[in-house]
Amino acid sequence: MRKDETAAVSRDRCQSGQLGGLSDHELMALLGDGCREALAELVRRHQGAVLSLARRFLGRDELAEDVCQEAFVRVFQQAGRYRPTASFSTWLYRIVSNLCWDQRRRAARAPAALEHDAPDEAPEPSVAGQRDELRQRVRQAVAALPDRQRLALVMHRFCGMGHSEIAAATGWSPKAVESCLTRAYATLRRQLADLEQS
Amino acid sequence: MKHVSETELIKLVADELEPERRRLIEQHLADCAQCRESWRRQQAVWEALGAWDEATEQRDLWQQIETRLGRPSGGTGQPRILRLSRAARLAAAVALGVGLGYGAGRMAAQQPPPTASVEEAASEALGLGVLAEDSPAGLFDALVGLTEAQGGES
Repeated sequence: MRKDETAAVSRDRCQSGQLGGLSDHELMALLGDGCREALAELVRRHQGAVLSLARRFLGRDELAEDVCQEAFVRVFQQAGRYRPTASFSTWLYRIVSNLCWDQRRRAARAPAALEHDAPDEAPEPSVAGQRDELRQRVRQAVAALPDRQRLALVMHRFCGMGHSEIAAATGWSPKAVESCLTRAYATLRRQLADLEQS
Repeated sequence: MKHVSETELIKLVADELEPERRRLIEQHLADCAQCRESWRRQQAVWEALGAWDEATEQRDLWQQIETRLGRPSGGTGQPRILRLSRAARLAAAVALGVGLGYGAGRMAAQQPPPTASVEEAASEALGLGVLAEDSPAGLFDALVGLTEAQGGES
């Protein structure tokens, strides 16, 4: 298909809203041509994962939503320079990672903002209550990790990213990622050891 | 096979290993109680982390994102200059002060020289005006008298 034919098909897709079957790379190409509907589709696909990462790392819902919105604004702004050399999600997580670090630096200048959202109310003594207690324990243990370890752990456990993907998204060396993960998991094993016994 | 490294234990539990490597490690775990215990603890942490489900409402943020796209990035509605960091504002103030000072100095250097002659200025500075003939202090006449007296004695 000639280039002008490809462009015509893209415009038709954009105008008709038939974007669901396109890959992330194809959507980015459309976005680079000015199709905002492509961005809407990317948001629909990835906002859950982005929010999940930001919430678990930052510990505050409003900050996480701010990071999520800003991340997709930057996707829009950088669409013209996007090159499909790696997966779109890795590129997106790099943006999210940088924004999360910015938030942490800002929060470091305002100590009150470092506090994570208050935990849920005391769990009831039932199966559901025990699960709530476990969730709180885990949440607190992860929140207590140093920033780099927490980010690596959240990306690994909750975003399904492998070591090399985490390295690509954060800009850290593979060795640094390994170190962060082994330390994070070792800390959590110590802190959650009593859960195994119970 | 030596004991399984922490990194490979993590990868094993996360299902990141190549099939052949996984098979070799699982074979080792069957024979090594120490590694088997380490694997069990890592598995327990992995599952405990799975209990942390962020089951919050899945808000659709597209509307807010579209609103932001209508403003400058990270926009708060403020003009861009007001969103400079404190350090940037301080640097701008210093640069402005230096620039104003330099400009004032250049303007002063370009002003015309005083109209009074150098001699008159020196005389004024040394207070010689009181010795002048037309000085109201009258010291000129006294000096003349003194000079004539000295001339008479020699």
